[in-house]
Amino acid sequence: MMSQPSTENSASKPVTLRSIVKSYDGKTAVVKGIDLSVAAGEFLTILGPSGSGKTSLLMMLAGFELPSSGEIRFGDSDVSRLPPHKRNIGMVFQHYALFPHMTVGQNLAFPLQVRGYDQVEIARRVAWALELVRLAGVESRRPAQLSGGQQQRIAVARALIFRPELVLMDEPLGALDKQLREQMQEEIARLHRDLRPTVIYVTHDQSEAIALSDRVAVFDSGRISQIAPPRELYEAPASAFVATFIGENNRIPAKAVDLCPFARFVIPGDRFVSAVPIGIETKGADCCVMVRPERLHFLACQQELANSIDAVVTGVTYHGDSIRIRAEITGSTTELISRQANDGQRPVPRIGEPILLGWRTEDARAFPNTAHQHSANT
Amino acid sequence: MLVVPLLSFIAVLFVVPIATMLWKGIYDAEVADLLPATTRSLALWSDEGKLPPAASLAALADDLRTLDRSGRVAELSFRMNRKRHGFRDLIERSAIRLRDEGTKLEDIDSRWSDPVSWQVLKQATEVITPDHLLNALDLDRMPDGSINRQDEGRRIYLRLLGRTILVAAIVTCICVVLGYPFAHILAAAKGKRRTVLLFVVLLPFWTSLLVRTTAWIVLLQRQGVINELLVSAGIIADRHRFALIYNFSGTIITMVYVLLPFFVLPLQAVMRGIPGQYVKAAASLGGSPIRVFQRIYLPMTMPGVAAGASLVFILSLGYYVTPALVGGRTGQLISNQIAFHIQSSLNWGLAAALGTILLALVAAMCLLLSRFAGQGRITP
Ligand SMILES: Nc1ncnc2c1ncn2[C@@H]1O[C@H](COP(=O)(O)OP(=O)(O)OP(=O)(O)O)[C@@H](O)[C@H]1O
Ligand SMILES: [Mg+2]
Repeated sequence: MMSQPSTENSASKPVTLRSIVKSYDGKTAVVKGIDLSVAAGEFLTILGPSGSGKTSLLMMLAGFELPSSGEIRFGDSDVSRLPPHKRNIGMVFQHYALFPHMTVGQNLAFPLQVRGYDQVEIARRVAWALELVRLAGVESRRPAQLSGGQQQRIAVARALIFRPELVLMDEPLGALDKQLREQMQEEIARLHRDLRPTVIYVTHDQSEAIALSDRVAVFDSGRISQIAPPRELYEAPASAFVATFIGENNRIPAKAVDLCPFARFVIPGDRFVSAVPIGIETKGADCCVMVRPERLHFLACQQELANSIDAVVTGVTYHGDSIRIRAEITGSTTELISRQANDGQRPVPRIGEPILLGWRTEDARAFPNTAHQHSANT
Repeated sequence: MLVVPLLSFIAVLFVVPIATMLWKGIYDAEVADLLPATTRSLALWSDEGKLPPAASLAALADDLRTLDRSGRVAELSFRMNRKRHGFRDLIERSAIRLRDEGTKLEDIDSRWSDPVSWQVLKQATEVITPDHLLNALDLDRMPDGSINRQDEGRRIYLRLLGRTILVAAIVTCICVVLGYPFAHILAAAKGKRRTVLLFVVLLPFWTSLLVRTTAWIVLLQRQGVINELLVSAGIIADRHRFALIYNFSGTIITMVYVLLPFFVLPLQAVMRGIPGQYVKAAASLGGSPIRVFQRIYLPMTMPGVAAGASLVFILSLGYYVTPALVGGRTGQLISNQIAFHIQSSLNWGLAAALGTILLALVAAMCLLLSRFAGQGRITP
């Protein structure tokens, strides 16, 4: 393994946010009351659409913005009012923010110099950090002489070189192309595994969030919609927003006809189906039934699954390993998407063909039909 | 093809005047034109310590008579007197005495029998002459061709040049100190605040320089606003009013005011081009505000400082209007002396020579500063 600097083996610290509110203009809140605990050494991702307040929250953690109200604690100490340079946080920016007038080595040395490390220790750590991101030997180059991916690695190395208790990353891979992004995701995951700092990572790429995180907090206009490990988020979304934001989902408009003992819904085409109801309180309420494409099967015969509906194929895409079809529910205009592994046994459906679509009751979830619902953080 | 208008514009308005000036600094045909025969005759004579041949003496007598008839002796005597004291009298007297036919130069004045006078005359008739340039550097060419420093009392241009450089340096330093924070505030400002600040910087450009300079006179003079305020506030006694204007300090104060926008504008442009994330990154890495300024912000804004400072320095070197109005005697700069030689003493050759030296100085500064600016970008 890598030789680690002996001076300290950073004890990563837990982070606690208590009712954080942020308003820039004093009128509208951008962050509307966040309660959040991040365990020491945890990798937490904040995922949310553009403008949902992710960067604002990160800026408050880093100390560049003060919360309008609420409290931020690192370990036992309240840091809400501490200036950025005293917080001992490593930060990685979307556009790297490597100092263009310094060499890579000087960039890496900067956080050590301001902490008063001696020359020998600085040299040792710079070498260690470069090895850490597998870029030994670029020390005397300028940032502009590195590729985008290399620059990002140096930015990560610079944020880790002083072994901070907390590392913040604001869409660090946003400027990279897809292939490089996947490669860097693995690098970041490896660094987290090796060094175990507490990481708060901001992205609006859900696959990145799922791939990297211990837990994901889904942001929706300044609030946390749901916070859970990736698998739970995918399998058991708590709201229609999370269900559509994470992964792909079919949204079928529906009306609750029965809740006890079994939830029954009527959907376009006057079919009755069943699904797991989440937060639906009254019979007759407008709601939506959500089924993921890979859990929506096109069937050979009626009996295989609890729910089945007639549809007409309107589009087919052959992916090789899977087949994706688009179908319209008979007697309505609602379109559904179904994706199935291609086992090579069954014929590929053709456009215009009638087809039977079915799902297991536990694979479908029904949510109240409000466009946005905030429940998880109150 | 499309740049032809621009090129011809540059040629007419820059290259031609500058070339003319450089040429005028070393080419002076005034005496040669007034004394054509003498010039031709003396061109062949070079014996030192001996009188020129009689033919030359006769030529000069002829030339003087011609000048006398057309009433242009004064022109010659004025020009010759610049070369050597006493020549005005010598030439005018000779011209009058030469009205009598048959009078010989040697009989009019003993100085015509002195080879030194003829050497001076020969130097004056040479059309390509280093005299003006030497003069501008406080040097003097002796009749025997050797070069000495001017007499103590006549050494003024080097001192003036030194003062010009000093004023330019002081003005530049003050502009840097005052302008840097202001440029930073301006660059960081947004929306309405920025509009107001920019307006403040640009306002001077919309009023005539003359009006603004006069406004400073109102403010700074002995009975001016500042002194009145200080006296009425009891801070200084009536007898001790500050002499803020018509001297060195008047020139400095007013020039700083006039040139400050030339420093602020390029610097704030550079500052605006620096994304805020560098400073944020440095702070998050543990840099205290002072360290961040030293290590990150200052080096990154250095090209802007260099650009603004060079602009101010070079503009200061050639500044004319402001020192002329508020400089008094001790606040005069080299360009005021150039103006004096063009407008009052009519010594265009010397004016051109001084201009040449100023131009050389500016060119040297440009080279030096561009080097410095280049370094500012790469040193940490
Ligand atoms: N410094 C600021 N002053 C005023 N308003 C701001 C400021 N920064 C952000 N905002 C506003 O706050 C809201 C949330 O912005 P924020 O940058 O936190 O969103 P985000 O989730 O990071 O979005 P993105 O994914 O696009 O980066 C936006 O409406 C934005 O206009
Ligand atoms: Mg953002």
